[in-house]
Amino acid sequence: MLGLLTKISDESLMLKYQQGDSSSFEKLYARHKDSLFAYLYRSHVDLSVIEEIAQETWVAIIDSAKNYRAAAKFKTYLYAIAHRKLVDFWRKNKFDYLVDRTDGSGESIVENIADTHSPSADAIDLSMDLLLALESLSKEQQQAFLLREEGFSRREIAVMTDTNEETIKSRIRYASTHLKRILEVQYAD
Amino acid sequence: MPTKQDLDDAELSVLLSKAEPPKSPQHVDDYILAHARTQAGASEPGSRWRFLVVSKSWLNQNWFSAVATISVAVVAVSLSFQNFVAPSVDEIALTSAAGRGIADFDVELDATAPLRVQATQSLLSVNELSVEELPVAEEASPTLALKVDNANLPTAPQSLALNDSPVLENRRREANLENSLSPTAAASSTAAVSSLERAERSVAPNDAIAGIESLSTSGLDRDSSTAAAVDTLNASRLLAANAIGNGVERVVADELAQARVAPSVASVASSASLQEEVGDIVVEELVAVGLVRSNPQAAASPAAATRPGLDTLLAADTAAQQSLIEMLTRVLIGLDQNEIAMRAPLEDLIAPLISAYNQLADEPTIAAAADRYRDVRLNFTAFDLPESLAQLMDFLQALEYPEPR
Repeated sequence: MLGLLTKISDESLMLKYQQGDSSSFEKLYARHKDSLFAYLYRSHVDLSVIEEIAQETWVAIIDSAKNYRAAAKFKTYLYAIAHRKLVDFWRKNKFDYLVDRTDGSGESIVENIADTHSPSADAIDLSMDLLLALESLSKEQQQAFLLREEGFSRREIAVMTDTNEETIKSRIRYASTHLKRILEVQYAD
Repeated sequence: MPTKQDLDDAELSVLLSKAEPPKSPQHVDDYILAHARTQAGASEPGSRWRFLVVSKSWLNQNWFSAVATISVAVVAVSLSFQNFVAPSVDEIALTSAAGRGIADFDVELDATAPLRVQATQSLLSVNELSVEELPVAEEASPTLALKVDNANLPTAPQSLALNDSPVLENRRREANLENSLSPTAAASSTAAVSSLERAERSVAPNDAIAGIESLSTSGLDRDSSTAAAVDTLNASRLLAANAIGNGVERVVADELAQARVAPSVASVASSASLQEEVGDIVVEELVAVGLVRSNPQAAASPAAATRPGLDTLLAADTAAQQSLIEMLTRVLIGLDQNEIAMRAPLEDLIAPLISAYNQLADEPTIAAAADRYRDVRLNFTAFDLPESLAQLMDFLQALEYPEPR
């Protein structure tokens, strides 16, 4: 309890680092490095890409520290940058994250996954299936769902993804429905 | 009560948390933290003084150059400060006076010769010098201070003023006339300071102190000639100091001292005239007359110095005395010829001569007497006479003869 009361906020640590206190950044980095890496990992399973995006995100935080203003939560600031890095990556690599990914016949991949019964499904960890199911979602739905899982509100997610709250609410609902559907189909048997 | 949708979302969150993601790799952490430290060092407040660390290492290798540079800077600063220290007015005046040979006022009285000063008369006159100015002048030039009690200094001009006499008044007017009539007459004036210095050196410190004591005890006793002599010196010094210290103020001391002294003492300054205009000190006139009857060689006054042997000649040669008497009877027309005839010896005629000279009240009469003296002096071949009548009268007055009855 006392530790929670005396815990220095992320914004204070960032402001201290802005004044040249590198130890404050080390504390800040220790708090968020794994969660951010997990978010990136859930967004894209390729570790090499995740490391690159994570490094670019933190370097961007460091380089822009002198211009940092505590107008919002640091975590929102951090994940917004990471989200943009992901979008940039997807754009560079021709990922269609604006619409649900479909296969060559035009059917939804999610639907295909749900309909496909994998012989090894029993051996696959449910959590890993969930990650694969996340890959089947559109990037917008995926990001909305993952950011909500990171604890951000719809409003914050809307700001981070440069959209409105209703859209975020719809994306989250759609993502949840499809993920459950996939998981239910896989483990129905 | 959670809804069905909420429960489903919770289940998904649990499932998602169970899918344990990989942690941030160590090499990524090291790179990010190193970059963070580098950026923090650039904006760290302490980095402003980092040059001191660099300077320390630089000094270890180039300390000699640093020391040399600092030494030159210190010398330059000290020289610049010296230029800004303005010398006092006294220093300027004394420096200027030293160039004219009059800065050596600070005569140390020598106690090697315990002479007995017994002046019988001190006729002093000080112009343009008030009693209040004397202590100021004394303070303005401390190097001119004698070993004299300062408490006695203000009494000096009072005694000088009281002892003023028609003789000196006549001398003053005659000197002015001579200076105005004949430019060459100014040559008769000797350097004031040198004369004053010689006069001062002729006064032993013991006698000076004794004179001061007598002055302090007996007030303005006219018989305290020793004190008067010391006062004369003090007045001379103060006048000179005032002239030097005031810079542009003109101070003229026409008559400073006229005293008869004991045989062991030559003389004191009889008159001095110091004039300064805008730092240019001009000695107008200072005539010191002294005579020692028993020891003529001790005569050290400027007048005696310029006429060595005259007193001896007059004392030994009655013909010379007679020539001088005849010459003066032609110059001083008002002399009583009967009285002159009755008092053949010169020592008996000095007083009447001085009295006749003192009776010359108006300037035309004095000028006429001076002219006659010059004419007679040109044809006078018995011995060398002083250049002016005033000097001759001073010479006679300085002789230690009885006062006129």
